[in-house]
Amino acid sequence: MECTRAKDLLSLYIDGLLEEDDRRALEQHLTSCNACAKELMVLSLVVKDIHSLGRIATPEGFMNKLEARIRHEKSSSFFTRMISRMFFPLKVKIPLEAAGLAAVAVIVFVMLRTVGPGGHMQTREAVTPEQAPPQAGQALEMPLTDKDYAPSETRDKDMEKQGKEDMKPLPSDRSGSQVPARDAMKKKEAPASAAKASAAKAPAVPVLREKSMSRVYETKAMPRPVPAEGISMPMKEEKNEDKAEMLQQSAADSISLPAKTDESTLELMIVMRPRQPEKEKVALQAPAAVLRSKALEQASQAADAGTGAPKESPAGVHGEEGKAVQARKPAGEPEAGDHELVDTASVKSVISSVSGTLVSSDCAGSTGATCLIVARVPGPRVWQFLTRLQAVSEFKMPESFLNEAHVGDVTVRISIRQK
Amino acid sequence: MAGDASAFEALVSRYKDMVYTMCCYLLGDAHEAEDLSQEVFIKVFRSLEGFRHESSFSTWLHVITLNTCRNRLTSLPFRIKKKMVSLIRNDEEGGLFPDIPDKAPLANGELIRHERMVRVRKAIAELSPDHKEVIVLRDIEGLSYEEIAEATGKDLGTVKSRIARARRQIKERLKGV
Repeated sequence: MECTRAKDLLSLYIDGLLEEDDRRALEQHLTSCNACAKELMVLSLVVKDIHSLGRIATPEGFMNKLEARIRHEKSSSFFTRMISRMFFPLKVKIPLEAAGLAAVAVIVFVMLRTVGPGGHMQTREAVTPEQAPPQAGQALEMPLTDKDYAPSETRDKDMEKQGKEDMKPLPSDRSGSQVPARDAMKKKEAPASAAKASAAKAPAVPVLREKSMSRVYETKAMPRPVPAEGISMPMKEEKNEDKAEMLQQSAADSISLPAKTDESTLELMIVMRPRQPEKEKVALQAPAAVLRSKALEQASQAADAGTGAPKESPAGVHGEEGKAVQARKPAGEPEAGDHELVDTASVKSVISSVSGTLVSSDCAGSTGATCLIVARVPGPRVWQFLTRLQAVSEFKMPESFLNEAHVGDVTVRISIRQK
Repeated sequence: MAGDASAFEALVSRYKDMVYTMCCYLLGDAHEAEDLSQEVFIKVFRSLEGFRHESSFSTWLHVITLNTCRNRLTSLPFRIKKKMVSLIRNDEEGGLFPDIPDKAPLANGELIRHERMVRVRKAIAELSPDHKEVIVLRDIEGLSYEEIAEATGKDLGTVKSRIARARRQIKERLKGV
């Protein structure tokens, strides 16, 4: 037997638990190996010492303390015992506390994300247009843009039908025009912003309004160079530039809204109402009465001169009125009223009624179904101009533009289509 | 037996030193051992009705004591306290066991024997918990290897090797004494 094996068996040998064969082999080895014999002697002494340690007596008062604890254990209710069992072991207590802390942290995080710093429910108004995804931006602007939400789709369909791709507004038009409007509304209705924002989030609201809305076209207020020619001028490349401009504009507007005192451009896309009987039209267009009286005078003079012009035919009046307006147009433009399907005369009369100046009037396309009128309107009278224009056409009032102060002339680009 | 106060008192009186000794050696802290011993008997008091006599009462009590000690050893407050106590106290025995009452000046031979006892206790206290368990159960409580295997939940071979290894470690620590 080797010494390693012998040393492993010494403990069992001391306890007298070795098998007969192992015991004989070990005893034979111990007679020949002094080291293992010495090891056995030392180990036996150690075991003897451990045995001699004996039991340790409990301290005085052990029984009394135990009795007191047991009495307390009996008197405590079942609920208390359950609670103490549940929470006393730290294996249970610590994970439970950690889970509770995590739950509280999650709740606080959700509350902070939902409730804004002012204490009311946070809307996405604080998000800049660059940060907000397109859908989120639309949802955010719902209180102001719900009207043109669905109609813009119908408008797009109409444009596709007419093949006027250039007339399509850029995707960012909506945000570009509505960010200032949104901020203006925020200024006006700051106390009620929370309620409005929550109302705007409800998806059913725009759907319900969509049904009740008439066909209203979108407006946009943004600085844009006036094209030298007609409607087909804006090219796709320009669209990209405009888009970038509008993004910058919307970003700037989201930060602050300075009052515009210099000349600015207002773009309107209007739909003319169906032509009304001449008498009603005249009643609506007070400034046109002056023109018509002049035309009547000219007609009477022509009759006196023997030209045979009809005196009071509605067409004649309309024609003369068109000519009167046409006198202000730059040379080389097509005759308005001859082949136009669009009633631009009403628009022109409105322009002149607010002391505006007609810059250009183009009716493009073979059908002449769409016209572009560019005019300059004194800034302080823009509101009056738009109000009068709304009497003869349908469009969405550019509230954001009206909320700004305009001292100088405002260039108004009006895209007109006939209903 | 359950509900019988006098019977339970007799039971405690009989086994309290055994439980306390085990707790002292396994925990290495006299105060903790007292508290834990009471906890063991409270557990016994609660679950005495559930004792099915499948093993001897002493083995059952050993199992309860071992499990209670294991739970206390792994508890965070105990570990923190043990670290702090080991940092503060640095005497011979580390305050691990109750002091031997110094009723009379010890004779020379007694003093040497007492010194050796202290060393042996310290050597046991330095063992790992697994080795401590088997040494206490075997050499102090005098349980058989089979009973130790039953109480610790280990197989017989593991118990044998652990006892042998623990004894050798104590021997090494007592070298020169």
